[in-house]
Amino acid sequence: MKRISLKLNQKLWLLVSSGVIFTVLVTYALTQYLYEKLYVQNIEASLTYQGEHIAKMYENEGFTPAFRAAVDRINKASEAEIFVTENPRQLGACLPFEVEYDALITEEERSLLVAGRTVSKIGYEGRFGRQIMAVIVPLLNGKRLEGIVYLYLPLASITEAVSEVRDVILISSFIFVLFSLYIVRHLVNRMTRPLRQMEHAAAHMALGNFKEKFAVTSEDEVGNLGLALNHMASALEQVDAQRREFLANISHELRTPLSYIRGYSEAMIEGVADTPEQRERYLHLIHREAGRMERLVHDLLDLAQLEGSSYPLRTTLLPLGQLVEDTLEKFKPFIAEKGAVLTVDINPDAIIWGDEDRLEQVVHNLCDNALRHLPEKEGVLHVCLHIDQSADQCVLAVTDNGCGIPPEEVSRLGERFYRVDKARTRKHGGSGLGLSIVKQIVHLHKGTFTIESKENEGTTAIVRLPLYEDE
Amino acid sequence: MGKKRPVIILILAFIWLFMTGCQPITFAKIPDGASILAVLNAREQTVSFLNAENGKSIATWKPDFMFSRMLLMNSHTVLLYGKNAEDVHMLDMRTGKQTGVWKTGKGIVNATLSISSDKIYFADKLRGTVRIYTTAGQQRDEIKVGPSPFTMLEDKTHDTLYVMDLQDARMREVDLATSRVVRTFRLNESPMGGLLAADRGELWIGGHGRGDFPEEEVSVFSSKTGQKLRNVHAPFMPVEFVRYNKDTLFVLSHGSNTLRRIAMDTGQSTGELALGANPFGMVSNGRLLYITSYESNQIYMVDPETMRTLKTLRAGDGPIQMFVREGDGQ
Repeated sequence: MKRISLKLNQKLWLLVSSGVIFTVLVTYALTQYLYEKLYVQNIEASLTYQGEHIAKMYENEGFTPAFRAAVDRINKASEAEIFVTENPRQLGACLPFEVEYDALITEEERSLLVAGRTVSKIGYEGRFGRQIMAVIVPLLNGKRLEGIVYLYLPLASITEAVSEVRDVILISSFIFVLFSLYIVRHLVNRMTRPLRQMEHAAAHMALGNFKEKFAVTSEDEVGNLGLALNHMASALEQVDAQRREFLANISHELRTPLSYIRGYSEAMIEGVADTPEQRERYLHLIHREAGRMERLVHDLLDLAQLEGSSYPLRTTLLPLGQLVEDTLEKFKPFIAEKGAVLTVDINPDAIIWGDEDRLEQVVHNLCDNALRHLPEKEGVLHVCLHIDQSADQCVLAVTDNGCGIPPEEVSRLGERFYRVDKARTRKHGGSGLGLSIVKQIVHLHKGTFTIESKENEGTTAIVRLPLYEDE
Repeated sequence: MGKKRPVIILILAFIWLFMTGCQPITFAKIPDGASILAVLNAREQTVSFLNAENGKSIATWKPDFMFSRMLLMNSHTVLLYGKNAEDVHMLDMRTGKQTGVWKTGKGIVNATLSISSDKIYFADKLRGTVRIYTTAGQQRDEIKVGPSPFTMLEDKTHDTLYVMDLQDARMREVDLATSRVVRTFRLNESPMGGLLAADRGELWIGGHGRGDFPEEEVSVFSSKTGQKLRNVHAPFMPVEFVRYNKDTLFVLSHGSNTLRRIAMDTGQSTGELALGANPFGMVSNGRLLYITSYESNQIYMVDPETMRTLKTLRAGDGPIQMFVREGDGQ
């Protein structure tokens, strides 16, 4: 069996419509019931009133011709049929016996009447051959049922009165239902339109078109969903752009050493380098570029591992000051070579819980980066490690007095392959991945990495790491 | 304490069930000495026994079986029966015990004791027959009559039973010797109640009336020819007759709540008394008339000479039928 699949707006429309129709039907039935009940009650009360009035007249006069004439007059004036009878046959006097006769009243009704109670009934009365609503008032003389006042109205006239109202209610209900269906349809369409638009936008996104934006018109859940979708689209767009850039960067980074290697090796094959010194120089160049490629691939691998969510850190209790000093020791020859000055301010109490090798990589990368940007003369590299007690953090700051970075670029530092130097010259060297790796390692240690820079004054790279807390 | 109560009630209920289940049906004993008036209260399904002289209540029987009418079979035996009852129950007033159950089946609407007191005539509406039973409860005969036999009048000298039919308004004369209907004649509609004045050769027949017209007359027929002799005016619905003496007849008309004393020769009313509300039953012990008022639940004790109510007694709910049983004076 094929299942009928409905759209959300159709479902909503059906749901609300059936609710409206159900409510109208219930209201209609209830109105009918109440109206009929009220009308019948009203008639019953009116008949009872007239009957009791006649019974009072009887108390004063008895069954006189004048009394009968008065009842006749009331009957003519009234909408209901009214008569009095003192006929014992009609009063069901013989009911205890098996007499085959259809009296006006039943045995139970007679006993109620004898007890002085007024009887009212609704139903088919064979004597009148139709459905009636009747009220019977006893005319008593002590315990003796002398007669009855019988007042009745054909039920047809009651149902006629009700049916008039029914038509009005029926027509107005019908119009109301139609109108509601139209309004509900309109409202549901309006409510679900954003969803359809989102569906459309999502389909475009799946095809890689992130330019399609959803127009948010409301502040409800659907509006919020739209905003989230738009946000997601921009994020996806950004990620997509970064991915393209990353691929372009990688190919570019790889192509440079490759073209060196290829060019020099070709030159050697074709015999351009004819002296052994030249060949050795070429080989050195090839070797250097191969090393660069190796570093690049190594860094990429490192980064890929670090960006994976489950990279295992081999954490130990670590005196960070010692680690910084040890690392700086390795840099001293390079700093001296560059003719720069190194100033160090280290707080030896900075103990953290971390991976020694990885943190050494951080210090290494930061210093390497700073060193590369030091000016040729009068370069100053300042490394400072102090403790920020208020935040339970230790702060490692590596400052150079290089050319600085324009403020709009600062936020992009740490992205893979991002270089301030767009020309991608190899003047400053580096793979463009160093700061990315630093950022990842610091992140894994639950620390923060920021860069502050002033153009032409210098740059400070700041790493904040949580202090080890002895509990 | 509170927890034990339901258990006790349960045990008592079992004991009660055991007692009532195993013991024979027993009612209050009715002493033989007193002259009693028994009243059948149809709506509450009881029989109450009163002292016929002073009207004091003696006992009330409330059987758990169905019944709607009764018959005094002999000085101490009562039969309780009814159209919707399967059986006729025979009860002894002296011991208050049930002495027999007659499996008659449903349909018995009326019963009359034969003048010789050795047979009971049952009018069976379901079968449309008169069924003749011995006082031991054996059916002797069954005679097909009209669709709705009710009032039965026995003529001892002619060995004849007159059966009035409520529905087809006919009188059927049954020859008891041959058990055959020997004559049928037309009566007024819904005839009920009657009297055979054997000494006059007359049948005085009452009734309820036809359609919306309540019966106003007592019809007097010749028992010899079945010819209607005359009408005696007694509105409305004369249904009970008591012969007081040679020339005096009391007629009770329930439609107009009127007791009339009729001089049988002239058919003239010599006294009238309005009483009760829908009075149905009338009996006499020769000195007094007792009349049940169905809707006011009363019994009127009327002096037949003065036509005055001597006393009004309270009955159960819906007193409809009575009998008087004279005491043996001991």
